[in-house]
Amino acid sequence: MIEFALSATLLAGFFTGIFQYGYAFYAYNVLENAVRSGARYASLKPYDSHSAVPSEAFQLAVQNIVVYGDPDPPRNAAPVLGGLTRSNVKLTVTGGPAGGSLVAPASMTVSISRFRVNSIFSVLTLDGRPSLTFPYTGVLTPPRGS
Amino acid sequence: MVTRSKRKGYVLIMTCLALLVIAGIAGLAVDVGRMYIVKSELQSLADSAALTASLQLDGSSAGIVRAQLAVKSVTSGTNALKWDMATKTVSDLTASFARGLSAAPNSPDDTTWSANPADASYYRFTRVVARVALPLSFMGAFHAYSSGKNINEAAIAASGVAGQTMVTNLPATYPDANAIQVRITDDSDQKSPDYASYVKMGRGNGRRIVGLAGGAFFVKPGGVESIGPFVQGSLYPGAGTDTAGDTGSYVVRLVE
Repeated sequence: MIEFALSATLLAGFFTGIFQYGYAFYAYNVLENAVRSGARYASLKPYDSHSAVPSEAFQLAVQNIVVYGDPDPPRNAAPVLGGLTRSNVKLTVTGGPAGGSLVAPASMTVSISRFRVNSIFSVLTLDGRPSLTFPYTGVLTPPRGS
Repeated sequence: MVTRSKRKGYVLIMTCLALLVIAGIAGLAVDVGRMYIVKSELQSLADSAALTASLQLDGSSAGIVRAQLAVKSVTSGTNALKWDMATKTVSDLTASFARGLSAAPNSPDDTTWSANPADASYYRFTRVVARVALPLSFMGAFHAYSSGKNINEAAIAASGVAGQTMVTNLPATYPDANAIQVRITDDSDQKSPDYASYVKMGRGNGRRIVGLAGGAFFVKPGGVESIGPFVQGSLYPGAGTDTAGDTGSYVVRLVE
């Protein structure tokens, strides 16, 4: 009986550890791939802003790609990973139009910000990673009248 | 009782045997999980580096040098791409370049891959290979047991190929065309009628350049002017194909 109690503790510890690591790695891999598709999408979408701050529609579409895999997801769409929301997706534009000069952005960086991976006994907070930068290869199409 | 004493220690033995199996499962969960992550990270890094480098190619040896620097640049700076859950810097990055096939301009000619081509003309494709050695925590023991060798690292590599690919069949409702046309109509800058002066003004990068079916056009207010190859999003005119009178419109894409 004592043996069983001892080994059960040990085994339970092992299984918990396996679950925690397994889930954390799985989650990270899903996020890595989601960030990748988001960055690729952002690097090709026509850039419709007058500054390095992207337009709301542009940012929303990129965030939707990361979270739902779709720039315009249906209302009941499920995120690629439980708990992931648009506010966890950060889009950073490097270069881009400024002070009236019209230069297309140099690159698009998509990263995960303040996302908590809950795996029962511990919480892994991902802030700033995974992150991916692609060079911008789309066209600059600022709105009319400016 | 006799039977009872014979069964003493049974749980302990079974636990020890089970631990072997469980260590294997832990190896799968931890090491294989990490391998998948590292593989994804390297793939992203190689793709990003190949795209960045391909934008620099313009058929000159200076373009090759710029491309080689561009490959290295993705591992440093504020947006540096890293591996092992974004904690380590990739040091083994190799780049090679290729021309396109004459028959199929969107595919690299596999006979021309070279790390440093002597004649850089028409080199439009970049392949980046990223390699790392991932330290293993559980699998190493099993590998040593099965092969008799003490291996505690896994070699992981990923390769990304990108290149300037020709835009041939643009759909009739090319989504960017209208927006760009509006932009041109509003444009008050009339001073850069050709590609060279346009670049000189530091205003390259796709503002008034639009790809149309059948060729490349540099668009100026009030009309269009055909000017030879260009690459969407690049400050350089691009390498073009070895077809005479090439005025293709190119966009950098991942091809593998």
